[in-house]
Amino acid sequence: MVVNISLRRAFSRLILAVTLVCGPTLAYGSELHADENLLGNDNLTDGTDVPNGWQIISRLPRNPPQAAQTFVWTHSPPAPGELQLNNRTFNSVKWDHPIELERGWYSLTGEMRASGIEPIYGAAILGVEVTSSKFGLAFPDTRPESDWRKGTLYLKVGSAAKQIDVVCALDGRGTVACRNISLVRISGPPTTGGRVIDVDTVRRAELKPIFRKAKGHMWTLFSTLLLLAAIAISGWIALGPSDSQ
Amino acid sequence: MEDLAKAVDPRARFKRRTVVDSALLPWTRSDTLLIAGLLVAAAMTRFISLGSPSVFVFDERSVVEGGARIILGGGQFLSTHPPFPAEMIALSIRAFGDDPLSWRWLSASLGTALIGITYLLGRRMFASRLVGGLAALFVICDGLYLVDSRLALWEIFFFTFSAIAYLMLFRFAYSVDPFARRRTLTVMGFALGFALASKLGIPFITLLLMTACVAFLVLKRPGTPGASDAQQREARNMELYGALALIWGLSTIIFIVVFFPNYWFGWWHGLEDHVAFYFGEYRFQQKLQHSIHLSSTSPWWSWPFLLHPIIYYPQGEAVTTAIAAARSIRSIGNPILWWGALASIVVVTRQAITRKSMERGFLVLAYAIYLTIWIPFPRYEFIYYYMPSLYFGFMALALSLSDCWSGATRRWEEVALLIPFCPVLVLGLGITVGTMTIVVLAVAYLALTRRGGPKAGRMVCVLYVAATLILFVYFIPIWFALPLTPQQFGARMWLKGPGVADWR
Repeated sequence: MVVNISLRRAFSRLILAVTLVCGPTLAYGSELHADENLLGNDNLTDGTDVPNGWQIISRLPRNPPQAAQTFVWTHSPPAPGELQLNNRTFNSVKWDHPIELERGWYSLTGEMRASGIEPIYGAAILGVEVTSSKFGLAFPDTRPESDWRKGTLYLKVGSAAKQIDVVCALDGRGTVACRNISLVRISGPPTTGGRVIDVDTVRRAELKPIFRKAKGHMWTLFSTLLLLAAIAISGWIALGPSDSQ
Repeated sequence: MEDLAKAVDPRARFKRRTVVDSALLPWTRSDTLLIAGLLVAAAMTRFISLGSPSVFVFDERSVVEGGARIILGGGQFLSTHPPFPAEMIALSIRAFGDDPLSWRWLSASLGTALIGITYLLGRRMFASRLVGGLAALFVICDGLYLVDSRLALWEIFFFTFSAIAYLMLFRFAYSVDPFARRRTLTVMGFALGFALASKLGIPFITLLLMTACVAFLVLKRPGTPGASDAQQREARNMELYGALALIWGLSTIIFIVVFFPNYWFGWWHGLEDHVAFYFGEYRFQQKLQHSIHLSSTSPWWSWPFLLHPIIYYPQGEAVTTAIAAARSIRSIGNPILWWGALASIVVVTRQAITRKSMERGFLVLAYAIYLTIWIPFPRYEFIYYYMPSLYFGFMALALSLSDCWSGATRRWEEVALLIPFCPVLVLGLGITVGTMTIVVLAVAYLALTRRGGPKAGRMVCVLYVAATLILFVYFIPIWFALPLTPQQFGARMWLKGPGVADWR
């Protein structure tokens, strides 16, 4: 009997522990839809002229034939769609998908193939653009010529919703293609390592150079305001009608 | 000299204006209808489809994300420009949610208010409903003012509060009631404070300009009859001190107070931190002197000629494609207004000298100051820096056209005002059709001049209004990000290089 009671207690505790641990986790997980690609259009197959959600951007003006040659979208299901960029002249072009991210952690994965990228001035990037800085996925190698390579980048988004741009970009001459691009929300920091971009830090760094730590005294603020108020009031009084008026 | 004395004698002006104001230009039903019509037209152009594009456009990211959201999140506000616009947008986000409409309706409201203020300013400066109405119409129909009124940017805050200050300046100029003068300067102090709190740098030039003008008016104001010289000098000095103390005291208080979030959240502990922030900002701006010149930058001398607009949306985009209709927002002004403003500034400059007119002199002075202030700046510059000057250019154009309508212009002035039609017609219609149209207009103008009277001048006035409206409709897709085929887009890119003259 004593054994039974102990077993029952132990079993109850086990149930309680499992409920406490798994319940919120499952509920949280169901809210997150952890596997949902926030970019939508998973295989880059939906859209009319360009894939839904994506836009094309070029630094230099392109006339229509040049633009059609520069930006190529191939999509023939069931093969995944591809975003291609071809630069014959020196230019910066990109496929761009702006997206607003809530506070949390995100993982961006994708595949990229590049050829003819100029060694020093050129760059092929599949990644994100935060303000004016681009951060590419971490690939196992950085060769300018490559077959399909898969990479990942983790994003940490802080206090407020942040707009970033997922980009498949090409600087300089060459060709680049991107596919299977997926941005998913994850529950926390990556456990396996990998490149992490703190969006808040990037923004702060770009917003302003270093400012010194606050060293002021509150009395300086209030005394200045009092002095200014006194000046304004004295001006008001001075502008009143004089005796001669 | 006597004429000059009369020209700068505020009381003489006041008397003249009193006669004009009370006898010829009282506030009538026409004023109410006219300003209501202008405000409705302005609201329609500013508010329609305000939520589109639904992403950040140009510097909206800095204002909303680097400003409003930082404030809402309790972060340290470190943006270059003062926080008043960001604070207003933060309040809007808190009240209505975080979406493009919520970011932009304040700009649209201020942009609409600017139209009413412009009407009042033109009407007051020149005792003319026509000047006020035309100036307001030009601000409605200009691309840069339109685009800036439809985006969550700093500029429209500064422009609107500055315009209030200009209006108060001319209320002050024509007022002899000391109580009214004091109220007027109080409003001016608040307006200048909010202008200072909206954008870095250039509002300080507005403050200096207003200070100089108020000082000029006070010093030139005639003394009280019967008072001794010493009494008069003392009264004038007292008034000068009062005016400057009120304007600077109020505006500086507002400028400091808008930074309160940084104190409230504990980022700054005293005024020293505010000062240190601006030392840091100075260092930051110095770094920009050595930064690369972006494709969107342009030299100051190119602005009046509308040579190099900026692509606001999508940023960095310069594409018209075969595979998609192009949608973009570009800071292309209304060409006839920009080039007409330049011609009219030349005309008004001469009139300011020959007629010794304070109002015309003020227009030219303000236009020149806001433009030349950028000449010594070593960092890169953008075409929208010209907008404060352009405002006075529009006012000068409205004045010149009003003179044309009433037959008060000389032939050369009318011809000068017609010259901007040549590039507009050639670039807009092509060299053949454009040249033929120029010839037709020239013949029509000459025929009207032979008939005498104001008909030739009225033709100039009508041509400007018609061209303004036609070009406004024509360029709307570029300002509203409406889809254009490559052909339609290319037709609107009047300048295609080489060099700085490039609208693409």
